[in-house]
Amino acid sequence: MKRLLLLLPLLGCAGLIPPARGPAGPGKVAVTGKVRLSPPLHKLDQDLKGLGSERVRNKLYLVVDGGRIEATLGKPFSVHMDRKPFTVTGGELFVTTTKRAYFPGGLKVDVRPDDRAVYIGTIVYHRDEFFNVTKVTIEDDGEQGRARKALARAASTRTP
Amino acid sequence: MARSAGVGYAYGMKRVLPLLFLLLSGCGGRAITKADIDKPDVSLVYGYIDMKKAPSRMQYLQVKQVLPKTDKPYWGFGVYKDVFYHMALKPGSYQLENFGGMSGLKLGFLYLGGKQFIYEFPGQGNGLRINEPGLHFVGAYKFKKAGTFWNRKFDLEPVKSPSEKEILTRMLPRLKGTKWEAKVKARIAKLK
Repeated sequence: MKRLLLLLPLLGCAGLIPPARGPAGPGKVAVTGKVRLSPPLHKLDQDLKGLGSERVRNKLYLVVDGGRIEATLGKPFSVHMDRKPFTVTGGELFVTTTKRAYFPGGLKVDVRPDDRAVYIGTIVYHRDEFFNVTKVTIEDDGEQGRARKALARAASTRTP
Repeated sequence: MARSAGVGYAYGMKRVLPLLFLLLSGCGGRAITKADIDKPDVSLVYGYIDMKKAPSRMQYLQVKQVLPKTDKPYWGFGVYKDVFYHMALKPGSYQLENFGGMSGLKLGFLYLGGKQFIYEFPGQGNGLRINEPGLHFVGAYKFKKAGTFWNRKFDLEPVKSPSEKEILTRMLPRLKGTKWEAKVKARIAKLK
């Protein structure tokens, strides 16, 4: 019960920015990108037990101004956010139902007033087996569609 | 291992029936046998936590094996006079998981007025890499309270005392009859 209660603040979408559906509305911009870990997450890296805990498997939560973006590792995400520059202040991943690994932030994303969609690239968190982050890189996958590239700039590559 | 174990959190679990608590030293992970200890590729891993400022004793400590990957990753350490130790850890990478024990007045197997405490390490960092078999000293630490009453946390501050030599000497009775007894005595002789 305690594990369920611990997950509810996240699963209950407290601060979770919902995935984008359809075009962005007035004053909003579609933000797309990807997050991955290097090396990738092994299925045994997360020890998740309890009701609802599978919901966070293979997910990394990017903390941004105004909430959290739920990113499935290695897969594109797309959300609608206010049309203004924002910062990815960090990331979180559930290692167990009660423990999280934290990832550094300081990634600034440039959003211009006339942007309808921006692509931030793939944020790659390089880590060791203890989830210590050794380096952060941003990859340009070349995917953009009609999104303008607003590649995030890493302000720091050091583990917090 | 990292010099500081970082901040975890401590909490008192639901009250355990004080009349029925049975302590199993080294429980919470796979039990080891003499055959395990005698294997040539295993290590004696040991360390110390001064629990004077902690709300409870330390009666067990658990690590999680993160490399090589396994679906049974948890290993329970024995605890003796605040020394934690494992006599048969294989090469790999391990992360401190938790430790804990009972508070209250110990009367044999009973803990009068006691509660069970579990101190959890963060899920990141606090790692130990064992590359080859032998003796591996994790370090000596002092338990320090941190956080607030509503958000209790702890920290482990590295300390120089007791020394590795003192810790090994303290642990020696537990190694009697094992292959580690002679190796530890040799190590004690070398240490100043």
